[in-house]
Amino acid sequence: MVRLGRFSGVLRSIVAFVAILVLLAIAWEAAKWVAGDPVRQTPWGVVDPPHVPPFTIKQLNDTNLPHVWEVVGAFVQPATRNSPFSLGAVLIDAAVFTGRNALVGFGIGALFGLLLAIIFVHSRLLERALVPYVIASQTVPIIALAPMLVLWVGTGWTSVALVSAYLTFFPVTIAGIRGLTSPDPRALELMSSYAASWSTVLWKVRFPAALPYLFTAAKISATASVVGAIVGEEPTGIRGGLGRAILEFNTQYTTGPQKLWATVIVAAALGILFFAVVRLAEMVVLRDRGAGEL
Amino acid sequence: MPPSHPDPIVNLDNVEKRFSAGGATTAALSGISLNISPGEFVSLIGPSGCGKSTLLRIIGDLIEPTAGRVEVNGKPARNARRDRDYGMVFQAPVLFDWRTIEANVELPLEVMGVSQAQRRSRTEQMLALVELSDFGRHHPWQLSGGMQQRAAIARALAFEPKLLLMDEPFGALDEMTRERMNDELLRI
Repeated sequence: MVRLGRFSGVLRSIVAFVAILVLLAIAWEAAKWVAGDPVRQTPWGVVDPPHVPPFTIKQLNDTNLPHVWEVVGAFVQPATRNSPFSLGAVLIDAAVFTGRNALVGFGIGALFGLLLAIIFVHSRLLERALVPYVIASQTVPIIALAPMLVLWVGTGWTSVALVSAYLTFFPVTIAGIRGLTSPDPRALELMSSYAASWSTVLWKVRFPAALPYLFTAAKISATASVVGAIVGEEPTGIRGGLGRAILEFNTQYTTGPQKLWATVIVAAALGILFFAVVRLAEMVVLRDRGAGEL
Repeated sequence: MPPSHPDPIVNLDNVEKRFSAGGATTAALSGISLNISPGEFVSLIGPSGCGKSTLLRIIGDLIEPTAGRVEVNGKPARNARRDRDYGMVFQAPVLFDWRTIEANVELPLEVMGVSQAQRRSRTEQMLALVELSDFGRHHPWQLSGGMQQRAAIARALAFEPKLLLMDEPFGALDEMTRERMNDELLRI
């Protein structure tokens, strides 16, 4: 473990994650065993006579909480009744589609957020004038804003990316302001004694000092951008992404609940992927700084 | 001690500094007049809070005096700062964690647009002067307080300023290191 250096921490996290997942699956089935619907069929064979749980809790029945093996099995079954494609293949395609929009949204949102932070740090006047509006922008529910965005920009993947960017920029701005103003005032006095311009100070002092804060915000924004991309697919009516898949399988829920669960799992995995990439980038960029873990 | 030079490098004439906070005004400095000749080593001594840091920062054009005239190197303080006539060392080393010691010492030269080759050679000289040549590739947090402060001095001297302003540079160090650093400084 020690030889792996800083990656031993990552390995331990992954092992812990998988362990919790297994425990969760066991708890899931245990709950259904005790208070769910009668069990007739498992992947390991027929249960004869069927197991009838001693209690009944409606939330644990087969429609609300399908069996773990049903959800896992759904990935390899056809996506819809006559589809030649397996659900797994369809969901992966949808994840790539949504992921691309989320990536663009993340990029735009992060850049815009950083720009806003830089402006606010250098102009007290603009900060005081605009920060209330920035905060207000985030309190408006995105469900209400997304259709308006579609009216202005049109349907298509650009509006999806914009919705994603909308949810991304705010943490970056807030963390950016904090980070850009974090250097020791004496460091700024030193730069003043070198007669450095504000742009030199920004590039050589403020921005490097802000990086740890920006990475923290980027982790929040990473998952927010995925949520934005998924949510943005509904008002734009765009097809091919996870948002549409969620909407469709929602209407089919009573006949095939495991498909919606499978979709949710894939959406969560996409968010985790984004987060992991940001974390990896952070480990590389901040490797020389010597402070803290995780 | 050289005889008094006709052109002082620092000339303060009746400098005053008042701070106002919440209606109350504190007179930090009042009626300060001072001449320092080139090559002199001047120490400002006084109890803490008596205005030494303020005076230093006024000389360095980091604070404006409420009244009085400040001339450094024959020019108003602002011009002296713009011309990079002086270097500063603070009580804390104030090095940048994301840069190596070498890169930290190079910083003023980078800002002043010195070529990379010249920066390299100058940095090597300075690190040799403060006896940190083996630690150029390290990062500040890997060094002790005394070594960091030596790096800060190397950085202050990197661009050969005519004037070196130091604000309690050894205040944060322990007694033994402080003794040693005082001797080192006189040597430099």
